Amino acid sequence: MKKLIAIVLAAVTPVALFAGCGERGGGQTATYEQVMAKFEGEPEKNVTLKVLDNDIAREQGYFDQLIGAFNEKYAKYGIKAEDANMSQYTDLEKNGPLGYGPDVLYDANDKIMRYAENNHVLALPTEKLEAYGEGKTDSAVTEPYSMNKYGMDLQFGVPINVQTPVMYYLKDTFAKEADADGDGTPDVLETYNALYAYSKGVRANSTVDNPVFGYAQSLNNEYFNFGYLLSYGAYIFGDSTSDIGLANGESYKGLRVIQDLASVMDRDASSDSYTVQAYNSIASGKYRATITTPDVYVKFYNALVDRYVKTDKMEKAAAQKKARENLQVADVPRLPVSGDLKQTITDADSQTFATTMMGGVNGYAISSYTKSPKACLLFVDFASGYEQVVKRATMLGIVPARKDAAEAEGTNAYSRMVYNRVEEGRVQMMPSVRALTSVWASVGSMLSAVTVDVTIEGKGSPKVYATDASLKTLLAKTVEDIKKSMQISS
Amino acid sequence: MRQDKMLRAAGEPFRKLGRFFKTCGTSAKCSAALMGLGQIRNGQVGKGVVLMLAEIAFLAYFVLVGAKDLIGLFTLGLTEGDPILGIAGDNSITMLIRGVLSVIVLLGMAYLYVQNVRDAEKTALRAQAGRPVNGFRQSLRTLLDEKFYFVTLALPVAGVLLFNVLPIVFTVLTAFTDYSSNVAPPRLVSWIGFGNFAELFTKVSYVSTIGKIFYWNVIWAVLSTFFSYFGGLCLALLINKKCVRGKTVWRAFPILAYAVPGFITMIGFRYMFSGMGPINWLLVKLWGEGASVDFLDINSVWAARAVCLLVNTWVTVPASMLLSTSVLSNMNKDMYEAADLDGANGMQQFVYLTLPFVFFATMPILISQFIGNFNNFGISFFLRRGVINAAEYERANSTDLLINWLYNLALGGGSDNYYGIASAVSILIFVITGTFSLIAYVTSPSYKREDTYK
Repeated sequence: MKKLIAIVLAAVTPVALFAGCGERGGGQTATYEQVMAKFEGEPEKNVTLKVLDNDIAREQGYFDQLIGAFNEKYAKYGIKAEDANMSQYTDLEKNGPLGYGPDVLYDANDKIMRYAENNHVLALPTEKLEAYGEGKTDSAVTEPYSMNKYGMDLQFGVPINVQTPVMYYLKDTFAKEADADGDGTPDVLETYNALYAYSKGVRANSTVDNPVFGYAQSLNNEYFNFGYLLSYGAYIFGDSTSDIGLANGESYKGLRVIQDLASVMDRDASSDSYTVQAYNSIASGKYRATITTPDVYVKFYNALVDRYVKTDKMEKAAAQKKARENLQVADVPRLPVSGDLKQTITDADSQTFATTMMGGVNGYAISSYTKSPKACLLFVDFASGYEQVVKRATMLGIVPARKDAAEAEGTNAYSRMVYNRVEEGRVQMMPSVRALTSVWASVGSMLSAVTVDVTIEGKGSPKVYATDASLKTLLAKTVEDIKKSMQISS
Repeated sequence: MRQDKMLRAAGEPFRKLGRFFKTCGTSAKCSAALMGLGQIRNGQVGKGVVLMLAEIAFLAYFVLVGAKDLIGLFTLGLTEGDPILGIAGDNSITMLIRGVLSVIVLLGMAYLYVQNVRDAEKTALRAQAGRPVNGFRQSLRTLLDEKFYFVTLALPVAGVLLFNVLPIVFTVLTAFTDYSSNVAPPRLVSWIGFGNFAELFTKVSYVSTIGKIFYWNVIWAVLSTFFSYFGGLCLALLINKKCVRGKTVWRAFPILAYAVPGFITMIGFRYMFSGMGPINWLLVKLWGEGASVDFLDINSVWAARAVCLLVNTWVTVPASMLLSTSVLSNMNKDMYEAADLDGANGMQQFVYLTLPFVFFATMPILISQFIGNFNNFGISFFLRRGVINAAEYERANSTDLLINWLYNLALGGGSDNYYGIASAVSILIFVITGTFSLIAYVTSPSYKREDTYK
């Protein structure tokens, strides 16, 4: 036994001593030309690019159109783009170094910038990209793709569409509701207080077997719910990631708003499948209004067309026309200064304020492991060009990140509204730092705690988090949880 | 004092070697200097040449690749890659694997070297004693005859070393590095000694999580094995009863549950116990909205655990019932008749006759069931998919077992993955399950009283 211990110790001790041995190189410095060297020269010929786009683009035929058009244009160079046939959640960080990843990928800015931190995506020569031309794209949407590396600011992605929650509803459902300001949005959807009262009434008038909900939104989605906290003064990171502003200002009021909303919502709002259910539930009238991102417009539209064809027995063309007219997208309602949705609003201007929501920018990036960076750049330039972005907006309902495409005729009417919100600073972009994952995890637990308190144990009213002080304590605890988690991640 | 003893113990093989070289003959010394030289001196030219070629091949490997790989095992790379700038750099993980491979080759060569010296000494003594020395052909014949086991086992052993031992050693070594999705090639991975273990047992959120998970893991392993084992036994006994009619039909029902793939059953149960599922619908219908139970919600604890136990019992009882049925069919009916005559009631017969016999026959299976349940990944994974950050837990929920936590740390979560810490957890699981299996098996009647039912 002693011999065995001696051998084990003899084997393990060197391993324990290895820490920090050897002079290790890293943290290179380079000039702009060196960083962009991979993009110099003629594009690679006779190559096939594996492109990973998101599921909606693939399902709705946009992606086929995109690669078809690209392949036609670059056939003479022998450059061909094809579907990478991978899950849209493929992790380049894990697969890229092994040679399994795509050449070009489409993802949210936080994920692409996570890859950029460890050099998994290439810095892009923006001077060669049409989308980065003067006045084409607002700095608010290019900034999330910017990172200081090698002592200079570099861009690691090309923004394609802006993501931030918007309100979806059917026009005919609210036909009888007043619209005092005549802006086309019913008054009950102008403020969260009105929406809360409306939802309470709608729910009270429905039955257990056929429940109807005035408002529903995913309660376990940190991205959608964080806006309520931001609106009351919270922020994610200050000057550094050690400055976590979750409990800043009156953010506890944001939690109170979430609790009030949860009390009039479907219990399914806390389930993972909520987002998928919402498309059909809006179409069927089970949910009267919901908030989610603009890029799923086509999902609501398809569900509505499906209902008109299958249930209302309409012709497809007529169903499509009606669905387009009936499906509405509006700004998110205003929030009460008091944070109390039960309060009756008499003067919207002084008693409410415009809601700030979390946002993000989806875009294209090029894998550092591609063997054809120049051909990839051609693809990214083509896909982020005016024509393709307008097509993407028309076919999928996205809000284009390009200013000119957002203002183009034929794109969605709500694109301008979203763009205005971005310009007014009412969209806080997701920080493009790795530490964000620690924030999401802990905020998720916090949201679950407050909403379960209302929907389950409290059966309509909070029990554990009934006071402002209890909500403040929860926020402070969540900040500590995030710090602990970041300590582990570091 | 203890250190001295340890050092002495570690130095013992070298002292033994020194004593051997003092007493051995010239042939052994020649083979020690150059493999195969002693054999040639003994007249075994063919064997000597083969051994020399082996040493040359090894030296060539070591000079060209092996030494670099061995050094790489210690440094895990010196140049960090940067794919943006086109700098390939060192791949720490490849270096770790190649380093382990070089150690295996080195150990294999050391074994061959020792055998070569011993063979030279043995053959020299044999020649001195006037006994014939085997020629090359005779040696080959011996290898195909007396030592045929060596020929047949050489390839499988090499396979085991390459495909079993290498990955295991790699996993174990990973536990001593800072390897994670954030610190992975092209970045350089570093040796951090026992840093991951220290983190597991000192960081507040990890300690609290590991404590809660281990507590539930033990309860889960005991209860799930108990319900599964005795559920199956009771069902088998019930169906075996003479008064039960249509035995085939009753046996077929659990088989149906058994035939459905486990994860499909779990997805079904997940829906049944969800907020919108039929069970909550029924509860609300019967007793109003307040009666709904959030069985599998993120922060649900005992309700979720009860559902997991129920589903596991449902999935595993059929197999357990089949096993018990086959064991019960081998029981000696005379013993029961004798017990009846002695006046033993049904319960006494069960406790003193049935149970010991079934235990004896199924103890190894019971142990494997316990270990299987201890590491039952599927139940919590499928029933609570995506629920990984419950309050008071770090990357886990109340029904997660150590194995689920390991998965969440290593692969789950869609964010950073901590391979090093996950490897440390896997070593922990190995120690727990290995120790339990050993103790349980060695103290079981199947091991201690092997002849009881022969």
